[in-house]
Amino acid sequence: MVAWALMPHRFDDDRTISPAGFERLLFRLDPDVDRAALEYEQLRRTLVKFFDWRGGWPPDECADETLDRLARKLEEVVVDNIRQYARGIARLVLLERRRHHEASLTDTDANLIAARAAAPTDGADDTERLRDCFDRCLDGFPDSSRALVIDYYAGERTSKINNRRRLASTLGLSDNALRSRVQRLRDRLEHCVHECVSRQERLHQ
Amino acid sequence: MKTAHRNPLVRRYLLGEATDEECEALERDYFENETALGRVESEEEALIEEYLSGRLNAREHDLFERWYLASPAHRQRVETIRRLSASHPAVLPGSRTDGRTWRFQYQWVALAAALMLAVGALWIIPRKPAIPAGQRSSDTRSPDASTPTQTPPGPLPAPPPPPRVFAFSLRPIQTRGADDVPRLVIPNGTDVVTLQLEGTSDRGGLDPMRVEIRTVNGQSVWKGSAAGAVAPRSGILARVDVPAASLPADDYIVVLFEIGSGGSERQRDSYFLRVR
Repeated sequence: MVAWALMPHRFDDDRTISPAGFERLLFRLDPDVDRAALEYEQLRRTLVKFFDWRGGWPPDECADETLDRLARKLEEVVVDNIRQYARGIARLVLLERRRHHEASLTDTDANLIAARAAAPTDGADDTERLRDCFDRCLDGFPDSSRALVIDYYAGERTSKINNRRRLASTLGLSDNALRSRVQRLRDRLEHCVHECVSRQERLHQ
Repeated sequence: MKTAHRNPLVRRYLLGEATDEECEALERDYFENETALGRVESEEEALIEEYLSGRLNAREHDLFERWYLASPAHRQRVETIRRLSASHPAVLPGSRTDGRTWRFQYQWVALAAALMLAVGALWIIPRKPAIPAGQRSSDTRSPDASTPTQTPPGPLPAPPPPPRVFAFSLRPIQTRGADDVPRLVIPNGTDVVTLQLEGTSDRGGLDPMRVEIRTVNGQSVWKGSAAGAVAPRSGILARVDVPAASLPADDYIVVLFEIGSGGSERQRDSYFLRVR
């Protein structure tokens, strides 16, 4: 029952996806329940990346909305390629989000953005908050994961390349597998930092 | 393994420049294929690292700040990578390290352990009777002892590590908005901060140049010569290496001077820098 363990949040809110619909979605991804869970996680991750890169905000929420719609569609129509169908729904969700939140999504004032880029947080409190959350989240990692993600980003240019080669060789991984492992750790870290900062902001409001 | 993968289409996609058809093709690919998704992630990481180290050309730098950093998630990602890069301990003389990084210094612990083992091995290897200092002569050496007996066997001591350099691009004050102040967070362990100074015009610096860094109160904190016309196409006019220790958290004015053939100086550009 790996699949259910992975998605406990799916029925906690007011989404309209039914357990039967969700089960159908899993079955369409793979008849084997464990493989289906992995496929589901992979599809969700792809959707999150899609919204992240295309400016659909917040990406997690957009991805879940896409999956909900996909599950409902599977009750109505026959879908040949589920991943490409999910992509089609994702594009619709993106367009709708853009229409509804155009002002916040087309934030292209050059000076404002350049200033944000140079100073990702807006004040000393925010900087402190971010640093605190970053440290706290990183400390929450197992030692080996923490050492890996830090070691991965060590060095500059040639020394960085050599360092990553050494890491991949030490761990017996290909370059891509190493990058993928670190990417997932970094995703977790970013998610944790985001949650932590949001929590602290709410506390200070 | 490459740090910069330079996939032009993926770069355009990430920087919001790809056409609808290109986006569609790329997305079709990465929805179907995890390897394709990995390629985009990899390019994104390369882009961020190049941005942080000031290696993006002027055009990409501009697009990165206008498009990529428009997303709060992306700003946080860049900040995460910046902090991760700064978290690695650099056990260098005069390096700035904080208390929490000691746990990651296992490489140095391993090196120390290796050296201790080597010393231990020397101790337990049966040795010739010690020769008092000053009495050593060629006839007391074995015929093949061409190296000093004190030299430990095993790995040679590691050469001193190169200085840790952190690069940062600055735009002239005239081309920035009033609120557009670059904030530089120098990573722990940085020895040298390379400031890449962009120009207000395309004209590269042909004359020798020098840089003076002053606090906003006018106190000069550092002076030095600059390498001119480093990469005129990228908009970088000059580059200067400043010891990180010279830049404690403060607000600075960086002034770039051009030195004429007669030794006369002319102010070329000035830059605002906020170190935190």
